[in-house]
Amino acid sequence: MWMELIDIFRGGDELQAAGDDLFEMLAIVRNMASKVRPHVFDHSISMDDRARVYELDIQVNKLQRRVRKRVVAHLSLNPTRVPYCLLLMTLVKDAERVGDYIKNVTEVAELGGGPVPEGELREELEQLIDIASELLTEVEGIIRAQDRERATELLQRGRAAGKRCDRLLVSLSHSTYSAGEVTSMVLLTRFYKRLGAHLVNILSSVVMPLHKVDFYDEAELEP
Amino acid sequence: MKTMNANQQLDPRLQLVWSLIKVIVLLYVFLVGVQCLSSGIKGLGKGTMDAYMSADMNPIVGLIVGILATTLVQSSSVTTSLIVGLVASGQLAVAAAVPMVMGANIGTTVTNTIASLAHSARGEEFRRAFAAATCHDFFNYLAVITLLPLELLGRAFMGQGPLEMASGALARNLVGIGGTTYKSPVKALFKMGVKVIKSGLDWLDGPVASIALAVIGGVLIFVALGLIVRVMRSLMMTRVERFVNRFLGSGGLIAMLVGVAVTAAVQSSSITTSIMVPLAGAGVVTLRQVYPITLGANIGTTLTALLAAMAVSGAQAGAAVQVGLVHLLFNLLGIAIWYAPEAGRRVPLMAAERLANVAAKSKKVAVTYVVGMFYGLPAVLFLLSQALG
Repeated sequence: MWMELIDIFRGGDELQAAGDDLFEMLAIVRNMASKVRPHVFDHSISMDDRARVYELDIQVNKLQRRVRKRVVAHLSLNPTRVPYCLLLMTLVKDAERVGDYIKNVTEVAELGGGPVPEGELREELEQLIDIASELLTEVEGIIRAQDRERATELLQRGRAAGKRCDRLLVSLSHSTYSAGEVTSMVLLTRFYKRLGAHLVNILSSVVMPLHKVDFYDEAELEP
Repeated sequence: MKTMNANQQLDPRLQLVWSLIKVIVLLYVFLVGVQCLSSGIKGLGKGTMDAYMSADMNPIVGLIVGILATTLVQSSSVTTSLIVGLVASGQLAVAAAVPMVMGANIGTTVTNTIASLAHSARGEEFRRAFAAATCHDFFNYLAVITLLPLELLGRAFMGQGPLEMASGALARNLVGIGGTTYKSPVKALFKMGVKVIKSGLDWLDGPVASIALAVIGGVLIFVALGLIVRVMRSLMMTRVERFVNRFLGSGGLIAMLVGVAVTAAVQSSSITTSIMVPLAGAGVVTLRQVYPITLGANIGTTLTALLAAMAVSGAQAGAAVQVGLVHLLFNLLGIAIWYAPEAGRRVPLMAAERLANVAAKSKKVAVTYVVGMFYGLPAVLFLLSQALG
């Protein structure tokens, strides 16, 4: 008990700890995505892996609540670094949503989607998934380094990928896929589009002021 | 995140050392203030204030004085230090000081109750914040309702109440009063400070100089404690934040010890209890988690009167220490009754919850409660005590 008491009075930066929680969330969703990626089109993910993805998603949700609690405690006791606190609140929401969409990808078969055959549209979706994976792999490092240049590059790729997703959805509506295949493709396209959009939001925090995070506009990019 | 975390402040260790230096200087000023106050009042001559502050003083009046003085200065530490100064001067009997100290305990709760009103714009948030604030009020009122009658009964049948008796015995053991003369270990240092202030008042006549010295003492106590609070507050906030984030579920005893430590460091229970109010309002801490922290704050704040007693030397030194111990024992006994047993704990918590439920529906109830509990009730009690002689 005495050690606990001493530990309390050691001090430390609790907001830094909240920032570390965000990075942990991003590391977990990256891990979730890597588990899901090989099974996206044939829905062959094992029950164990699926259960693990769900467990990881619960961890992400817990971390989100922990960050929120830390931020509220900080602002209640010591209202300094307010923009950083508000930013953390918005970024953890995005990170939590990324986890949700990865979980949703594992549910496509249950939602009526069948395995997706090879073809041009599937190739397009694979490329889009690769872009989302690239964003996910790099986002933590970019935020840690506050790498504006790389963030801008990936923001452009991410936004272009979003537009490609919309075009893919139109193409799917005219495709010859079966109902189950189209269902899979539409859901996957939609989930990865949203996943990429949340990663773009997170990346936009590197280059945009707080009030413009989520609304990345190249024309308004600060020098 | 790196750039966003850049904190353009002093190195934390340097900041800590600098803050501690400031606190030591301020503590010195505070203790010199206590000496000035007691010397000034002593200088007025024995018997000057007997009509008001003898042992026969109406205890209800004493209680009301304690409540009102504390609600005015928003600090029980200031009130209890002034009481110590008065006792040290020989003008206020320990028996008369006991209800005043109890009143100070009640009066200090007004600050966090007022702080909770800031949350009134959002019903649920206000309900939580108001309950967290008023559990402190209910504990203090319950402690007084239980212990003041006991004290008065003891006084009627044994000549001394249990608090006065126990604190007297402890004080005798601590400072050897009744046999040897207590010599304060830091007396010389304070004497030097008092001498400087007294020399500045040489141009005034006897009684006027004494009044001026007492007033200067009171101002020094008020200002020094206020500045200590300001210096220590920011230093303690990150620690409280750490506690809330990591150790809140560690149990009541840890929470109480944190309340003691934070309050002893910032020298203000109002600060400790007031910082819990927004946390409770935001739902970060629950009422049951706030309660032991609040009680710890009650104990922590008793350190101030004990510190003030350190500055006192001479025949009244023991009595001054005794007042400090009355404050401590009163709170410990209150905790033994209204926290230690689950049944006792439930009463203030339930009362706070019920009041908050009503107050959340009608803000007028909250305002009426604050005015009535801290000003109306004392006024009624005063009128009753006067009417009953």
